[in-house]
Amino acid sequence: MRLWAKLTAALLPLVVVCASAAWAFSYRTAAGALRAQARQRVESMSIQGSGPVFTAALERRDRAALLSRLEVMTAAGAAHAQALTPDGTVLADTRGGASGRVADAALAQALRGGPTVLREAGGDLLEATRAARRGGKTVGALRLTLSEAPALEAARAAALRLMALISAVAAAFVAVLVPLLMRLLRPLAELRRAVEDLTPDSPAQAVPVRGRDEIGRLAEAFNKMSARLAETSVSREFLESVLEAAPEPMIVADIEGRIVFVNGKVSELLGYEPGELRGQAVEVLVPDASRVRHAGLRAGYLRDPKARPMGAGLDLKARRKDGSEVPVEISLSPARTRQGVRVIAAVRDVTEQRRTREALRQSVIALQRSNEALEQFAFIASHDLQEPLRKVSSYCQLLERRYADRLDQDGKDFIRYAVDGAARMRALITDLLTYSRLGRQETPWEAVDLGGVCRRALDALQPAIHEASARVEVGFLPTVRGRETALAQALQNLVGNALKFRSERPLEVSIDALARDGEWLVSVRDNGIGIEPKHRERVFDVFERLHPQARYPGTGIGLAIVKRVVEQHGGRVWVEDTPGGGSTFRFTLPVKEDA
Amino acid sequence: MTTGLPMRLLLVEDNEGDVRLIEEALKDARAAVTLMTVGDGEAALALLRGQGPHERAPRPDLVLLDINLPGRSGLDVLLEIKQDPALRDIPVVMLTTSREARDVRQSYDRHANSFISKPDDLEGLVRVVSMVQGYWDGVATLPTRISHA
Repeated sequence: MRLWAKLTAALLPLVVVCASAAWAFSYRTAAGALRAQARQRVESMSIQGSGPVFTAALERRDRAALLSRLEVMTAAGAAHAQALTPDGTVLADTRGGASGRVADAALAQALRGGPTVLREAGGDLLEATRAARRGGKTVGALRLTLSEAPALEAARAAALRLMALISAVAAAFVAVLVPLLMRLLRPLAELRRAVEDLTPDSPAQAVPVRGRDEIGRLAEAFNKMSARLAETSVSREFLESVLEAAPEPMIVADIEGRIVFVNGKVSELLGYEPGELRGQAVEVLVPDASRVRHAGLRAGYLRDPKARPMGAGLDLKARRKDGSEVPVEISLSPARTRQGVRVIAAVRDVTEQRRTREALRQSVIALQRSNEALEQFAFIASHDLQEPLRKVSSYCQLLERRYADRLDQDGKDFIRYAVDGAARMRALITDLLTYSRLGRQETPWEAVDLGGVCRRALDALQPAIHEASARVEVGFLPTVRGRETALAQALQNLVGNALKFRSERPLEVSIDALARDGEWLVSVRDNGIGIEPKHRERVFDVFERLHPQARYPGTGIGLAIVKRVVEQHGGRVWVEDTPGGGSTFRFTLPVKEDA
Repeated sequence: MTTGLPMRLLLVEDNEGDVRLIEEALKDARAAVTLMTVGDGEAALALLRGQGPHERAPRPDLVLLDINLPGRSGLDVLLEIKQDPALRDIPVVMLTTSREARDVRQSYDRHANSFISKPDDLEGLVRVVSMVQGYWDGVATLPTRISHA
């Protein structure tokens, strides 16, 4: 029941009771007053009426005079009048029929002397009886009756008027009060509607504040609360539209693993109708094989919920509605809401990535196989090439030994060319074998002291150093991780190169290293003939030679070996000018972590 | 201790050119050697055991064994010789083109008495056969020579 109706319902009986009370009171009051007036009137009429004229006529028993006197009284308002003898005989009566006798207590009392005796005569009649005296002697009595009805009628009318007035006032009051109440209560209704609209997820609009009364203050307080709510929470609609706008499938589940929300992308990816998944266990999206495990892992996640990828290192799959599976990546993040912890899962369809990855893996395997086959081939080929070559060279030598005396100079020269050719081919094959062996390295990496390696390389080159009258300086060299023989070969080839390609001036070679940008930079400097910039890439290729064999003998594989060794150790090699002439070969090596 | 008799050398080598080259090298080295030659492992084992056509072949003082042989490999033959109580006292010298560490290790694992890589030229080969003959026939004492003493 509305407040205004309650108030009206409470007021209405009050008005009725008040009006009734007013009516009763006013009626009683008016009736009392009017009856008192009637009494006075009948009394004074009786006093007047029982005057000397009436007494004289009574004494004389003059009925006509009495009657005319009585009729004066009825004309003045009395209902009827009687003239009575002391024994009660009616001498005159305005109602006619002046006969009979009256014997009652009121007459007896009036005859005993004293004032007018008043008596209710029934039927709204008031009866006044007064003795008529003359010279101390009672000659009879005047009896008057007066109807009280007009007085009571007047009293009733007055009371009714009062009641009507009260009712009118009450009606006017209600007519004014109800709209006023309703007007007063309107902000409350607005407030009620605002509160009804208010949910944890959508703070209400501000309600208008009307005035500074209690309701106004309430509205103000409500607006403040609503604003605070708006600051601290975001509506579900907003969140859901954010998730809906996400380019990838998003799933929100509650702590029980029930799906609370999925965006359209999920339905698209997994073949569900929109809204179909809501309320289902997330396990419906997990392939049958992992379902039980998933439930366990989910419980584990909830013990320590934080943002992280799901199933790190595993190839996850999601189950479509039709039971087929789709490869996915999933990242999880928890969200604490008033409804409890929610887990938001962002899903990514990685079918394409997995396919690409698999293709890449297959290519790498194929490439590895092909590389291995190639290395195997190079190794076997060079190994097997040695055998016939050895025979060619050996038999040529045998020819020379046994038949030298029977050959002319041409014959001897031809044999020498054949022997030289075989020797050169052997060198090529040996170098190729060395190069291909680098690809077959199976020895484990170890800590290698480049200083020691360098000393050994220089020992091996000692005859060539001596022959070139070269000055070789060795500076700081670090300890690195790698294969000692391979690194020794690389250093030996670089220094050997410097010894070979020397110029006219005395050869100076220096070897040192420094740490730069988190790696070692090893330099082998010479003041030899240098390398033209356009050839600086080529020199590292297999069998690449810049100079005629006669002048600088060699197979052209030395720097290719250097490059391969350095690259196998995770470094790079290149060549620069040495200021003042010559070449500086530089290569990098990773800094050994525990050195 | 030498007996004055030429050392009996069994060469297990399938390539005729190589056989001839070793013969020539021995000639050049003026080594006092009686050379017996077989072309494969089965023949070598038959000869060592005096079986089949080799029934009357004398027991060699030293075996020069190639690794790359048709049929059973030299390493296989080596293993069989060294597992045979009747043969395992005969020194076996592996003479091969291989320089592979794996071949070297496997040869010694199977109790080869030495491993020699064939030199690349004739001079080297002459030097090597001369040294082999000089060592086994001069410096060392062969088990076969004790009974002859």
